[in-house]
Amino acid sequence: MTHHCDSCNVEIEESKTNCPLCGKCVSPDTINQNTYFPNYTITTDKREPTIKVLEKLSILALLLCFAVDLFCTHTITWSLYVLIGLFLDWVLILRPIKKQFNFAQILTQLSFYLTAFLIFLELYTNTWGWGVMYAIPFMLLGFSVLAGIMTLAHGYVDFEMFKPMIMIAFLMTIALILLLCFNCSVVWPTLVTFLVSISEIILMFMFRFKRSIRSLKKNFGI
Amino acid sequence: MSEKQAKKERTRKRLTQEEKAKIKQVEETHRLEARALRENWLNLDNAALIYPAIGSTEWNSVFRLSAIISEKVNCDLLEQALRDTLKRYPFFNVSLCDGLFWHYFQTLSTAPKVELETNYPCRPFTFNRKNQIFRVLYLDNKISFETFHSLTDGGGAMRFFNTLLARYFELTGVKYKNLGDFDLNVRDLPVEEESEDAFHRFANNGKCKPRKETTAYAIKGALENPNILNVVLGSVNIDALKECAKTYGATVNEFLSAVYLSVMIAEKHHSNTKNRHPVKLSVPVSLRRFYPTKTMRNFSQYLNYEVPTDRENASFSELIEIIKAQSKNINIDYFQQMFNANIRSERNFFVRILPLAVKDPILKFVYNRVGERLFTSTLSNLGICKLPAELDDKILNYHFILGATKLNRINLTAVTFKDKCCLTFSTRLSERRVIREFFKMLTSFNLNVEIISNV
Repeated sequence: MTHHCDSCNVEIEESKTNCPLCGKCVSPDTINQNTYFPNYTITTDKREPTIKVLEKLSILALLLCFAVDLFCTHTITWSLYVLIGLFLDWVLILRPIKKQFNFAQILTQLSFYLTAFLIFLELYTNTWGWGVMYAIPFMLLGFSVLAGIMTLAHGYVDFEMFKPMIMIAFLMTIALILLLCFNCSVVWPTLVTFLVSISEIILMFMFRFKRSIRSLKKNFGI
Repeated sequence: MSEKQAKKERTRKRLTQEEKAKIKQVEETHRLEARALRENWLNLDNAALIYPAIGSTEWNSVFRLSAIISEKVNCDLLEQALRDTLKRYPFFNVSLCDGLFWHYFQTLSTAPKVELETNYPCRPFTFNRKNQIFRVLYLDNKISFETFHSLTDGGGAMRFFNTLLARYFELTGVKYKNLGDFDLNVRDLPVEEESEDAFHRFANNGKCKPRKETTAYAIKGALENPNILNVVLGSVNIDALKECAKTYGATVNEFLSAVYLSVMIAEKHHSNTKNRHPVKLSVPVSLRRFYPTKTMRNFSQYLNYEVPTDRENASFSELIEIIKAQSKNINIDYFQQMFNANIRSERNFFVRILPLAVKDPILKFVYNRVGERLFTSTLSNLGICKLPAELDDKILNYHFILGATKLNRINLTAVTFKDKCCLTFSTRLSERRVIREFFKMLTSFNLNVEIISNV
């Protein structure tokens, strides 16, 4: 038993009161009980509205800062700190929560953005040296050790932790090249972090030897 | 020492040497089995590589096959049937994991539970080591199978789903005479060829198809909430549809493509868009009929029907002629060149050497630039679904739903079972003008359309 929609000239299933194509009423008496699809209850992520509010508040705060800065000092010098701070807050806190990042993804993002932030800070405050020579290597060393511990805890199940490791090794390689090029006096923290990250990658390869070999075979025909 | 530990110690002492050896042997076997499963992993096929890269938590490439059956679903039997089917096709029981260079499938030892359908179709999957990338759902008298596109394509999914249904009805008491003829017997042993990457097997060093294609017109409109997928199914008698297509000297696929293209051209004119791009329709083609393979993983390519902007005022018969002319150029060489190009890209040294963390964003960027922009919509026709005669009165209809794609807001699918061809639109657009015009046009050919919808 079906209803007929005169407007669209199609047969409509019995359970529908309105034509799904044009929306016209085909039978006002029908009980709206769909047999092919359930009565949906849309479950939305409860965190999403909070994140949206925080995002909007951040933009508002930033605009306010720029306005006050321009009004009082006629420059945007200190507003830039706020801009960078809010950007970091969005990239490292709000976005991972929104996108449900896993630990490896968070660590990769942290490594990259915090390194970029420290370099920016050094350049912006004209105090070149402390970040590249000490802060960045020690921070990344900490992340590297953390990634190693997490890999051990997961029993080397997959290559997830390779992402932050590779990121750290990559950043340290660039830092090493820069430090050697500029003849910097303190290279050892960068060298230690580089060696730790590289040895962790090698150890991961060793412990997942069979899988590593297959991966290499597939990619390089070794 | 606590009382519990003391008791355990006494029990241990009572065991004979022989029993101890036996327990040790069983434990060792379990350990080895667990290790074998952990070590067992599969590479993604060539076509599957793109889907994990372009997906996100809000969206990924999922499609659904549903069967409407004559009785209420028994979920316990369905779960048992799923367990048996997974023994027949173990390569479906996998999770999607991140590798160093590519994503890979990790074999799982446990089967998933069947779920009651409560959500909109084709919800995205969350990828982790423990979860399968397919789900089996039930609702009253409907059984559905949803899968992530990396696992299989429509052809592979249809075979898996039919095996599941055949086993389910076998458990309810149906006796088959010739189940083997349909290749749906769960007692058959898994064949390695069924899980092969056929693209790699058949790729050669021959010519590659250039990737340069014109951008297509995109249908615009207000979007629904990301969790919502509007589905409109229209059932048409297949014999009447064939007859109708025959009057224009076209196949059913060509006829449906022409109807859909003409509706999209009308939509383009209606929206008064300044978009000068042509309307293009992407039609996936299973390569299993061209190549000798039993693979159940992705093995399909697509062809794009295009109506040039200067031919948009063509009559329906002329539109069919345009489509037929474009179909004539399609042969095995065309598809061979298409996947040769894809395989060559995959084997490229610089692509291989890039870590997955770098590769994924690049793939996503490339796909957003050229992937879906090359066609306005998709028409995926699974063809005729054949099942043993014993199931004729058990299964009433088949539905095939394509999940929302990233840029194209509306998609059409077709599947034929018995005398019914089920045409399904899935869309995230709140406006349903294209769907209405499509079915109106079908009815103008004196075809009787029966509509089912979740709207």
